[in-house]
Amino acid sequence: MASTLKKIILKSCDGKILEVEEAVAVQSQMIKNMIEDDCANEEIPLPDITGEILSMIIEYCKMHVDGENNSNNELIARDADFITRVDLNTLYYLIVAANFLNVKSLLDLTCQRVADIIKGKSPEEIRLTFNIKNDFTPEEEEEIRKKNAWAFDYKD
Amino acid sequence: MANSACQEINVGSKRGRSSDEAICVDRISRLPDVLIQHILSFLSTKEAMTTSVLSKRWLWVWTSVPIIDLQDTPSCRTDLNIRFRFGQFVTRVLILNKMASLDKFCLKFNLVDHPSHVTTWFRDAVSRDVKELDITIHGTQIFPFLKLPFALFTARTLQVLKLSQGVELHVPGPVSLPCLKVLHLVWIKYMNDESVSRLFADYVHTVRHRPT
Repeated sequence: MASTLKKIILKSCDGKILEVEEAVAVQSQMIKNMIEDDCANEEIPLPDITGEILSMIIEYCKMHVDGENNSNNELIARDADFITRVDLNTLYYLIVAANFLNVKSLLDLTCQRVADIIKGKSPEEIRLTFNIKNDFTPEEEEEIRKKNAWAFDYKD
Repeated sequence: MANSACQEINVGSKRGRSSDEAICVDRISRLPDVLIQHILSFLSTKEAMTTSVLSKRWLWVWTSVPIIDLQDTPSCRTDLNIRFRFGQFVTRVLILNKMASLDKFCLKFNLVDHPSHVTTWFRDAVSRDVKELDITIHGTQIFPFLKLPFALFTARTLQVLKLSQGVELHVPGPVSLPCLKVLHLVWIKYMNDESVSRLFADYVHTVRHRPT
C-alpha cells in the first residue's frame, strides 16, 4: 500500500515541478525503469517537455489509472474526449513527449489522431492542414504521381 | 487559406498555443522518421503512399512502415484491367518497402489470372518474418480458388493467420507454426482431409468451430 502513495517529482524544461503518485508515473515506461533502477528518488528533470505538456500527460496517465476498472468502451470514449480537445501544435509536442517518456498508449492515441486527420484528404489538403511546404518542382511531383499512380488515381 | 485550414483544426480547443505564428509552422515534418512511420502505420498503405508527394521529406518515409495493408477498389470486381493494375501496385509496394520484418500484411483483393504473382507476394511476406497475415480473396467466380504457398504453413514468426473466401487449403507437408495464436478460416475450400488434419494437428484441443 505504501508504495502506491509514494510520490515521484518531475521537473519540466520551463521549471515547473509536479508531484505525481508512483502508480500514475509508472504509466511512463521510462520513469518505471528509473524507479526500478532506484534512480527516481530525487526530482527527475525532463528536457524538452514544458509544464503545460507534462500536466496534460499526467492528466492522461491519471485518467488511465483511475479508469482501470472501467469498461474498454468507457476508456475509448475518454481517450477520444481527451485527444479531440488537443490542437495540432499541442498534438506535436504530445507525440514527442509520449515517445520520450515511453507512454505507449498515449503515443498510439496521438499518432492515430494525426493519421485520422490525414485520412480522406488529398495531398493538397494535407499540406494546408499541416503547413507542409511543397518543395517539388511540378515535373518532379508529376513523376511521383505517375509512379505511384494507384494511390492517386483509384478511389476506394 | 493556409491559416483558415489550420484554425479549423484548432476550433474548440481549450488548450495549447493559439497564436497564428505557432499554428502555422510545419512541425509534423520535423518529427523523426520513426514517429512519422508510426503515424503512417495507422493508415492503409495506399493512404500512406499518398504522402510521398507532400514534400521531399515525405517521399520515402512510407516505405519504412512495417505494416502493409492493401485493398483493391470496387471497380476491380468488374474490370480485369484494373485488377491487373492493382497487382502491379502490390508488387511495387513490396519492392519499395524496406522493412526486413513485417508486423502485418493484409491483402483484400479480386484475384488476377497470374496466381504465381500472388503466391510470390505471400512468400515475400513470410521471408520478412511476418507476424500477422490477413488475406481475403474475391473474384473466384472467374478464376479458381488460390492455393497458398507451403512456406506460409512453416512461417516461424506467424502469430495471426486469417484466410477468407477464395482460398483452397492445400497443405502437402507437416505444418510448423510455432508462434501461431489466432487462426481464422472463413468460407474457404479444403482440398482434402490430409490438409485439414495437418493444419490442425498441433491445435486440435484448442479449436472452436463457430457454426455458420
